[in-house]
Amino acid sequence: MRSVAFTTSLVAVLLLAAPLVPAAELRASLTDRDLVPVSDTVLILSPVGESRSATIPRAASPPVVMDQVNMQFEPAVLVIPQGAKVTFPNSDSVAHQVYSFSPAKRFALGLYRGVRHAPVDFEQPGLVVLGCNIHDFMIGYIVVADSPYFGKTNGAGEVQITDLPAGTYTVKAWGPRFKDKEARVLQKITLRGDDKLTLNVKLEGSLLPVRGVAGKMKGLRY
Amino acid sequence: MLWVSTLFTSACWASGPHEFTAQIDLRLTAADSSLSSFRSGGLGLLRYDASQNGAHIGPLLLDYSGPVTDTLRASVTAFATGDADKNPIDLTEAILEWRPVPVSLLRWRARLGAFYPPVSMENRGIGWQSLYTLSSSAINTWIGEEVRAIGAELNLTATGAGSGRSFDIGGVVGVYGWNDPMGVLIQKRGWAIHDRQTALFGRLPDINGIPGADGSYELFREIDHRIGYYGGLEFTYLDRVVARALHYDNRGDPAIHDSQEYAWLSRFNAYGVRIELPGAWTLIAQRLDGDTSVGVSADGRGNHILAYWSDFLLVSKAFGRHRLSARYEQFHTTTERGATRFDSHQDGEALTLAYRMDLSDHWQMTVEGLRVNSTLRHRLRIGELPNAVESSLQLVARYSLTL
Ligand SMILES: [Cu+2]
Repeated sequence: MRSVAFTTSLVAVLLLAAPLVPAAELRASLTDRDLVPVSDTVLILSPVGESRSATIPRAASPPVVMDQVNMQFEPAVLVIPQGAKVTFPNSDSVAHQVYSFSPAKRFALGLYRGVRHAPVDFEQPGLVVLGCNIHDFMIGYIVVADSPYFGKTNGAGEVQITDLPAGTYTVKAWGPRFKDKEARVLQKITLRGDDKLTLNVKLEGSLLPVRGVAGKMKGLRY
Repeated sequence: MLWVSTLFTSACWASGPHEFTAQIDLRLTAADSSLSSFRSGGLGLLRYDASQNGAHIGPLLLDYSGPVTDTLRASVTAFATGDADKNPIDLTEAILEWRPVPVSLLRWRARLGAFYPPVSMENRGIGWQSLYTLSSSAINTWIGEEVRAIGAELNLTATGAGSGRSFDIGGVVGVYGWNDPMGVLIQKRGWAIHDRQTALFGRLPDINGIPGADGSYELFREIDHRIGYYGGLEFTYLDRVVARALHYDNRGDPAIHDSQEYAWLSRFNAYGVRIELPGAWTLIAQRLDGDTSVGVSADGRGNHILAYWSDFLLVSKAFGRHRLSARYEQFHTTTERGATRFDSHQDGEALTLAYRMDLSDHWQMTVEGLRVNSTLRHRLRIGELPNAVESSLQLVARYSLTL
């Protein structure tokens, strides 16, 4: 049902938008070297050369939410455009103390429950690793993209990025299973008009296992 | 019930960083054993013996945890065990913890107060309760009975998540006093399996097999004025594996005693691993071996030396709000010196099966079946056979509220 609705709205958007500015679209699927889909991985399309000037920073939009539910960050991986604000509500009955010492953003929110703190600005592109100073096992990731064109792979390892202006892009990927902290440059692509490009990416090298197998632990203290 | 509803209505405004938790159990217990519980001075290994079959209200747990400053956190845990301890409600832990917000891959932690050394892999819930079963393993039951560090602990961990590494590695050291009588229970009764933690100012009756006999122990006292220590290592791989090793030595002087009790020299090595597997499976294994000694001797090691070990394997699987756990364990004590005066030889094994279900945010139900087959040589002294099979079934409805 959802995908039908999604496709329908996409068609509607295309119908509205197509006559004005032709926009290209990228569909990608990510797998590991054994062809197993890789989920929760961010794909960023950074315009290169002349098309770089075409990059319009997204207008001030409402803050994005990084929630804390059952002593886990929700979502585990969040991708935002450079300059976006993020709120960190705490939906648990216990207090959390969220922090990061990543170069892209250092911050700490005093111990809190509910919604206590103003949204946090993320001006620098890069990877921000989140922790909770009370629950050392809580780990979350915010990827601050240097371009407004990005997406995150779903459970099937698939991602779709739409409304792409014509131009040349560097395709970069980063996910919590990557051993390196820097985004991995996959390839360069050039898109014209209303190109619809499909990429099948096999990530070379070994990946870390996923976090989050421990699942929800009600009543966990230590 | 009135206070419960009063607390409940006040829950609406409780959203600050200070957490108050109240938890009360409603228990039905059915034990099958000819032995009296150690709680009444018997040589049985269960908390509730057959004479207590039926309904119980309690234990009650009260817990506070909250910030003192941005980096200091206080937590206090108290239990009312409802079994005629010296104080109707008493502390099990009281901690001032320094948790600076990490600014690099090195993470510092320090604790001051009365707390458990990092031994248990299963007692991860509020009030140091097991997440998996009602009764702790023999190892962690004993830690809850006789071991408490009253002192200071420093922990340094190199974390991996910020650097794309998949593991953390850390070390911990603790120094403490007031743990001198440690060893007396494992010597007189051996290992046991239950969920009763000895309170800091609590008292246990003398275990001589005669219910109601005089005499009692206070376990957290300083007798020889010597500082004990522990040191350990912890390795964590993602959120999948935690492995620990710890050496504990209370550095007691077994020749020294005061008007109530001897200082015991107790030392152990503890190892533990917890593995989380896809499909919400959890595996926990622990081993502890050590010795304890007491009395005057030429070599200073005491005229009575008891060696002990135990290990267990716990398998648990969660199905949404349901959790099934099974644990098998073995335990053993041997008198290595002074057996002619008091031979406390114990051999045993136990199987624990538990089903736990979260009924709502506040109510949790647990059914636990426990079967302990043990031989304790000096049960002969009270006219019992050394070997006994004790089993119990407990049904617990647990209400908890965090404000
Ligand atoms: Cu937390």
